Amino acid sequence: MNCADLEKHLPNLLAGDLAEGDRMSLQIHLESCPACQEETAGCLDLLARLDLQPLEQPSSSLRERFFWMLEEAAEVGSSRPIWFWRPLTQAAAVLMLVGGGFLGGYLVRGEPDNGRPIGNRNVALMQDGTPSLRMAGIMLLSQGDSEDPAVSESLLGLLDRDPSESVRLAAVDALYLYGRRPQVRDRLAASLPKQTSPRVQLALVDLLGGLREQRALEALRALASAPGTSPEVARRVRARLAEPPL
Amino acid sequence: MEDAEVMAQVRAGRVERLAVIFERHHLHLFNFFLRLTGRRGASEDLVQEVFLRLLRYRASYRPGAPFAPWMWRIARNVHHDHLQTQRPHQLLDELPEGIPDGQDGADVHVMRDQEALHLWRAMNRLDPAKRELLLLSRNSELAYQDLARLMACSVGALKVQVHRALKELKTVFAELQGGMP
Repeated sequence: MNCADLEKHLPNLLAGDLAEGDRMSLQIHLESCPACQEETAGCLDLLARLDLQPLEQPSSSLRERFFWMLEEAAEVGSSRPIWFWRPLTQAAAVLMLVGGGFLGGYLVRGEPDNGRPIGNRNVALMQDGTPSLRMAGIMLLSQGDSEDPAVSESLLGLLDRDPSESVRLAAVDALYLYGRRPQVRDRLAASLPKQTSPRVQLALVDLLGGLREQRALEALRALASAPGTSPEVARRVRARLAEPPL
Repeated sequence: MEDAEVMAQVRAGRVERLAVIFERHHLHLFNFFLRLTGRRGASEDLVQEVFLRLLRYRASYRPGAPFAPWMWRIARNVHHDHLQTQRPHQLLDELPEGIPDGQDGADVHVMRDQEALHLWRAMNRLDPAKRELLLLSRNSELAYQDLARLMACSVGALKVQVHRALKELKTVFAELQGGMP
C-alpha cells in the first residue's frame, strides 16, 4: 500500500467496513508514513468528536404538543371517546419529573433503571394517586406483555372497582394484552354485568368480541336483554353475537 | 417490542402506540434537526412534523419492514421541506438558541468547551447536504446500506461522500482551531 491507496481505503475505514487484509496493509503503511498517519488519525478523531457531542433536551412543550396531536388524530380516526390522552400527557410529564426520567427510560429499555420487576412498580402506581397517575401506570404496563399475574389481576381490579370511568376504559384497553389467558377471559366475562357505564360496556363488549370469547356468551346476551341497557350497547352486543364464531 | 411491531400496531389503527415511538426517538430527531437548523423552536416544530407524517402516512408503512430507515426518510423530507422556506445557504455561525456561549458564567456546559464550539461552527459552515450526510452517517440506527438507499446512491459512493464531507469538516475545524488544516 502507498499514499495514493489511502484515498481508496479511508472511506471504508471510516465506515467501519475495511477488509481485514486491507486493514493490515494500511496499518503497515501508516507506521511508516507520518502524513497518512496524521490524515487518518484526524478523520477518526473528528468522527469521535461528532459521536461524543452531548444531546440537547427539547422543551417540555414538545411532548405536550405531540400528545395533543395524537389526541386529535384519535378523535378523527375513531368513534371511540377520547378519554386517554389529555390526562395521560399530564401524568407522563409528572412521572418524567418526579420519577427522574423513569418513563422515558422504561419505554426505551423496556425495564426500569433499578432492575425491579416492571409489573410490581407500576402495579403500585396503578393503585395510588390520581386517576391520571393510575392511567399513566396502565399506559406503562401496556408497553409490554408482562408475565406477572399481579399485573393482569391489578388491571381487572381497576376494571371492576375504579371509580373513574376513564381509568376503567384504560384498563380495558390494556387487558387486550392479557386476553389470551383463560382466567383473564373468565374475569372479563364476569366483569361485564358489573359495569354500569355504557362506554365501558361498549369497550368490554368489543374486547370480548375481539377475543371470540365463548364464555362471555351468556353475559353478553344478558346485557343485551337487560332493561337498563342503552340501545347503543344492545346493538353492539347483537352485532358481536352475530359475528361467527362467537 | 421492536419499533417495527409498534408501528404495525399504529398502522392497524392503534394510533396511541405512536407514543412509544415518540419516547424512543424524539430526542435524537430533535438533536438531528437542532444541528441542522441551529434553532430549538424550529427543531421542535420539525420533530412534531415528523410524527404528524408518521401518523398521516402510516398506511404506507409496510409491516415487517425496518422502521428506522422509513422514519429517517420522513425526517429528511421534513428537513428538506423546511429548507425550501429558508434563505439559501443561511450560515449558522452563531450558537444555537439556548446553548450557552461560555460568556455568561452560568452553568457548566459541554458546549462551552472551545473545541466543541469550533466543531459546531465548522459543521455549520458545511453546506446543509454535507452536514445532513455527516449526521446521518453517525446515526447508529442507520446502516450504510439504509443510508445509501436514502441518498439514492451506491454504498461505495456514499462512503466516498462521507469521507469528502469529513475532510472538509476537518479543514474548517482546523482553521477555527487556529492550526493548519
